[in-house]
Amino acid sequence: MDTDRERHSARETAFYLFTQQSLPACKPVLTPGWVIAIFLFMGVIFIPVGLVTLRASHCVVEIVDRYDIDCVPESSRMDKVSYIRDDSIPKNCSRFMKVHKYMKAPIYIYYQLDNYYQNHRRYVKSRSDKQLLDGQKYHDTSSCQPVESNNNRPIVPCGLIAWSLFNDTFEFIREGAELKVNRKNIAWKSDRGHKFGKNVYPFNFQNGTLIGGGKLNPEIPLSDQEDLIVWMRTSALPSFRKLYGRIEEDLDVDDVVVVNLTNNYNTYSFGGKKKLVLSTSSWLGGKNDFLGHACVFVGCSSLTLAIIFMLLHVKYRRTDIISSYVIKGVNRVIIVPFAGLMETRVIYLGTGKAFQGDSDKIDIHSSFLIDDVLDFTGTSASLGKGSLSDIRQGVVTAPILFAMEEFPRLKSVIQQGFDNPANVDTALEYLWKNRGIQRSKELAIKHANLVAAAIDSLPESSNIDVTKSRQALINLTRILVTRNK
Amino acid sequence: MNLDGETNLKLKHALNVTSFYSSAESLKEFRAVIKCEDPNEHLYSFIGTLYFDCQQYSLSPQQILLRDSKLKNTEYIFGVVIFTGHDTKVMQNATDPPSKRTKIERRMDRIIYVLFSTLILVSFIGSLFFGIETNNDLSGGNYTRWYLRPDKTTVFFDPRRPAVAAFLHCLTGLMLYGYLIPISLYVSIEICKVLQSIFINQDQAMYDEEMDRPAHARTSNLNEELGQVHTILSDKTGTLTCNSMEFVKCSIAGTLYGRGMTEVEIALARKRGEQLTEQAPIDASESKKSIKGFNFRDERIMDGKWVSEPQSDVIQKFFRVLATCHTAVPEVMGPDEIMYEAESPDEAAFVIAAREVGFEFFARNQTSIKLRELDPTSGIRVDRVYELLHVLEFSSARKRMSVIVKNPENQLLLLAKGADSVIFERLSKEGRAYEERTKEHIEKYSEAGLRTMAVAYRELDNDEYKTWEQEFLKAKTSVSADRDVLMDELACQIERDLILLGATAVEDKLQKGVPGCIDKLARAGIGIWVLTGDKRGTAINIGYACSLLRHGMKQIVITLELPEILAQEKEGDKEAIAEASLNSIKLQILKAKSQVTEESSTEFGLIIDGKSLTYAMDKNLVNSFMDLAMRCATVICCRSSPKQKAVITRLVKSVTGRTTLAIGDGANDVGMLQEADIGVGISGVEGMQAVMASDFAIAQFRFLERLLLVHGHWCYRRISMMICYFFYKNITFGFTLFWFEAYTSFSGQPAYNDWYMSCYNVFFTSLPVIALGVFDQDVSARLCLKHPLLYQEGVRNILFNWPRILGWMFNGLLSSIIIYFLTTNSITGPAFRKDGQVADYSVLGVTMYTCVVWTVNCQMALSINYFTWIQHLFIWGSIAFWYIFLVVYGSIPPTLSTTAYKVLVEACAPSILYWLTTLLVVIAALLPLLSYRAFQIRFRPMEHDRIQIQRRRPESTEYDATQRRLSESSEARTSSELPSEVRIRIDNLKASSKRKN
Repeated sequence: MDTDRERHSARETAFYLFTQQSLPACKPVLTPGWVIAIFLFMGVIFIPVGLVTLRASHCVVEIVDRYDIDCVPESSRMDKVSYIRDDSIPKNCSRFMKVHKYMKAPIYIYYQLDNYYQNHRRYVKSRSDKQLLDGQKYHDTSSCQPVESNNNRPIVPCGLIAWSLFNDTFEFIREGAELKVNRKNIAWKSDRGHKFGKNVYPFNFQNGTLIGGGKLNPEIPLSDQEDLIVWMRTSALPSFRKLYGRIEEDLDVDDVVVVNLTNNYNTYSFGGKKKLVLSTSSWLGGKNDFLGHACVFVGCSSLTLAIIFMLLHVKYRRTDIISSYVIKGVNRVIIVPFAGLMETRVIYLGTGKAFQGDSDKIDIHSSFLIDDVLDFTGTSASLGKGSLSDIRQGVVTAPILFAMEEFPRLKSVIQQGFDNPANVDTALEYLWKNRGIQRSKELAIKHANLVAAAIDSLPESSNIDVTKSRQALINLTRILVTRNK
Repeated sequence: MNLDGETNLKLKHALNVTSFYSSAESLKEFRAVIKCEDPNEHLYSFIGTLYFDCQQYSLSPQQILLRDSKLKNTEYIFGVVIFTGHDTKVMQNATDPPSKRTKIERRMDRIIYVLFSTLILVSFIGSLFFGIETNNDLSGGNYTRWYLRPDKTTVFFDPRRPAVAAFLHCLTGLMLYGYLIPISLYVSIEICKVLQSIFINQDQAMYDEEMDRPAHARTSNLNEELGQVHTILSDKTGTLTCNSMEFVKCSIAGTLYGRGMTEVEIALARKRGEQLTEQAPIDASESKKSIKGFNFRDERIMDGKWVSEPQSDVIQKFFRVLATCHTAVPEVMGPDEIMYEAESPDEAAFVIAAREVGFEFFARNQTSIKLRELDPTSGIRVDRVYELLHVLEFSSARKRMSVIVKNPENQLLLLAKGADSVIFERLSKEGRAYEERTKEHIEKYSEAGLRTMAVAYRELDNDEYKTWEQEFLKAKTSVSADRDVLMDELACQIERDLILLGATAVEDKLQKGVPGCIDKLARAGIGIWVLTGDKRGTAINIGYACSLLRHGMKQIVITLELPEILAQEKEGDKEAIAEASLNSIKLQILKAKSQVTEESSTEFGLIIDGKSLTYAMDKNLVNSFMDLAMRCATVICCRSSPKQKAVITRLVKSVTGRTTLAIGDGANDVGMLQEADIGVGISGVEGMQAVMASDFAIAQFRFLERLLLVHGHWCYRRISMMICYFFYKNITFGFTLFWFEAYTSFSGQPAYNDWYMSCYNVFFTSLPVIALGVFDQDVSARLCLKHPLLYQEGVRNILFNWPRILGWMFNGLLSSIIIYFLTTNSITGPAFRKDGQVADYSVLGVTMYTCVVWTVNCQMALSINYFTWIQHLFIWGSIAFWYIFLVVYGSIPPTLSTTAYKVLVEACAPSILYWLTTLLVVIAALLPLLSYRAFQIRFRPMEHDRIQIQRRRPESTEYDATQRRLSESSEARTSSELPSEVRIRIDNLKASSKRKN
């Protein structure tokens, strides 16, 4: 009973927390520490992964031979299209491939086509999965447009893809002996088992007036026509490789493989390339440096970001440190912003050593004194930032400096730094005891008057614009000093 | 009937001649004709005449029952229906409820336009290239891409008519890239808003236990607007104050009575730095029980002791006036208990006060008022019947009411009470005995934020009364437009030569927590305007009491109560008055403006009255007036009518172009509530009219703080983040399609299986985004309230400005580029598995889609920083669901699953490259946002970033404590010459050092 009630109340509490939007939550914040850790971690992960990947890619030996141009006789090269269309000319061709590195079996044979849009919408759609599975039992071949029937009889397999079947053939001879090429199991097992029917035989195929690609043996069921199955898996991009077979013998360095091929397939009319590729494989697949390079690049970028972040982080913090560090030997303080710029604050010592900028060129400005005063007296609403934000960040400002003059004990507090909030409080207590704020204001007004005088001392001009801008400058100074937000 | 915002009884009675028709039988023979005005919207006037028995009887609002009235004190009535349907006064008053949309939604529409143009542009580019490619299929009479059979094609791919094909392809493109337009966004936003409203309704911190009323979001489509309020326009009565009047003080014959101290007085005293002697608790223990509406403590008068006061006859007259001069109706609840139903709470307070002192009003009928009062000579309570001859009613123009009665001694008396100014004008020479002292007291009372009334009487001469009555009755029965004017004039005639008795002071109680709430809202940078019907003094005092006006703030008063204007008013030339008033207002505004410009360092409070406001709203002046008002920290408009409230609201809305929120509780605020971007109704005692017209209903003003700073901020953040993210995820998805298109010669082949695409917005990315829209919190509720400045994020709209929106879109574009190019380059081409298989169309689709799902969900995880189990479940669940979907979908027969058949199980999962690519692409796509966020938080933190980081620091607890104390005691700010922040810090320090020791 008791446990029941407990469970019940626990559920109620959870529901209550849910409706009050106060469920226990994890609230990660990207603190500098985390940022650096994440970036470093990513760098540490990706650079080794990239290197390993690159190594795997380098282990793969790949021989690529482009044969589409060389296999056309010199005489026909001007009009390759009519050459390839002319059935009377034999299309045999021999190519020599030199093995430059030891290739361990199995060696995969690919043919590669470029600029061949197997992913064109019209092409991709022109097939009938049901017919491939059920053969002529399935009558609706409308999806196979425009190669769905011939002489009013359906074509099996129908559609553009099957019709344009690749029909170059390759034979490999090494040192006079034919290399055995295994052309089984080059298609996906699921395709053979479930997409192409075991009792479906080619019918009425390539019987039309226009013959596209290769022909099929009508005695063999589709599930065993692996070339077709491979071809029917349409490629993703216009440049693609397809598996032709496997050589199950190792090839040694300097072996020369003679390839006897029949160059039947027409890629000339659309300017496509044909290549023959022999490649071994690694645990990762074929020869592809891209992934490795990308990994290394991402890792390096992460590391760089981590370093940049770290440097900026430290530098930003140091400016805070400088201003509190300066105090140690202070006997006179002047607030000097850059001429014309009202955003930067530089505090320099009575010794005359300026941290930034050339002191001769520095125009004394009073805006920051007021900024500093406001940090103590302003309300959050009237200032863009919260009150006391400067001191909280550890920036020692004019009022505090004045306070220090009156109460030397404050110095020791400030030297401890403001990381301890108690120190901030002590500083503030002193601050309100003395006339620090008042003096800062007075100093500001004094400097404002200096500025006004400086402006006045400029040569007179009768130009109205000059007079106007001069007045504007003086007004600006006054506003800066008297503002409260 | 709740049209004027009051729940009090309205006295209605039949004409004397018809009042005896009280049965259906008698009505059979009743024949009469009513002539009356045309249908109009004036609720408080009715002009009509009943022709009956060859006599004319005038009909006044007293005889009229408005639509929706409820009967009290009687079971039934017989009546005649005068107007029906849309002709009724109530319906004539109704305005169409405005349709409100938030600024974010309006901006979202514009983003949709941008996206739609992008969609058209992208489709156009696609079809352009497609046209070119198709055209190339036929070059010099030869078909180039023979495998597409261009010789035997449909119109869609016909190289002989490439222009038509391109045009048709453009339509295909619109369908395909339709993912750029997030149609599901609207649905998702609606779901989120409804859930957000439920959270608002459920919030325990906005639940009023006394009234058993939770907050209620009546419309769900304005939630995020709550986070962007720039100006609040508030009603005073019932909103800032309770609208429960308490009789606290009175001045009789120049003597002050009443010892209680009001809230306002306490605040004022604190402001002056006076030490308070706590006396309230003692009083409380003395009183047997507190009586609603009565907080008068004075042993000199109470319990019949007034008899022994020196001016006891004046005291007697004074309370007799209070007990008779009113329109309240007594309700006998028990042997000793009488409740009063009065038209205004002040009136009830007077009658209650009279009862408590010993002048108990216990019965009234058409012609008489019965009092039970103490006879000072015999010392026993006797019943006295006053014959009620006429009631000259209160109206805002007259500012007074009076009754003419005949007392048991057959004396004719005119008893009057009214605003001090009007009563003092009408005093006789001998009646001014206490004028000076009373004026002084009234001054003092109104300084203390009390409502004052002067009380006077007059003994009437029989002959004078007779002649006056005849004229008055004649005027009463006349059917003409100027009847009211005539009656007012006649009332003026008799209401003169009054003898002053004294003055009353009634406290308008502030609602709980109002000053603290206003202080918090002001610190959140929200401007607050008070629009009230009260007079200037009261308004200013309420302003001080609820810290709207602060010490050190300069007041700018714009008024027409200047000697020269008043002098002109006496002359009565209306045009001259208008012109002089306009000029005077103009002058005052210009003067104030230059003052504001000169002294930019001080805060200003602007106080303007309704009359001046009408002139300030003049076409030529309105801009400079609004300019002035915008520069002032506080604006108080007193003496403003409901219509003016609505007009001001509209002006503020249009001039600032920012979000305005109106808050009010009465029917007189309805216009304002409907006009403002957000109307918040207070479901207080004044009926439900305002609540019905509002968008949000809360039980007390102080809940506004939570509604805006917590819910408003959250909702704003949630919705704006959600919209940005939604665009991001759809652009990411849409553009991967486009890049793939570019590699299929723009033929319109989608990169993914159809089912993947359909499920994208439904299953794989929808729940996390809804979780973001419903549950996300940048900072907790406690911190939201502690750092009111955070609210400015919404006011300045920095989470939904164009750079941010475009930034997210750019991020989406970047992600799509990274996903597409990294994926294609990594897995296509050479073998992607150990067994030499190459990645085909279906594998590329699955890989890209996996990367998209991972990327958009991880971006979500990166951009929120609030994870409850819900977020974890939704984000990681969505990703897991994609794999589950793929396995399930891939295992159904290939004729249905087509390219997805066993694609994960057989092709992708065994490939290490697939997993590695997913990891790389996701990290690479996250890197831009991650580094942007990292640098932005460190070097340009926004307010919420700052608070989040601060929360992490251990020393912040100390700081928090200070802040909390600061907000709790707002008056501490002004308690000494040190700014309170500093003072509190010092105190804090001392305390902590003590603890250490």
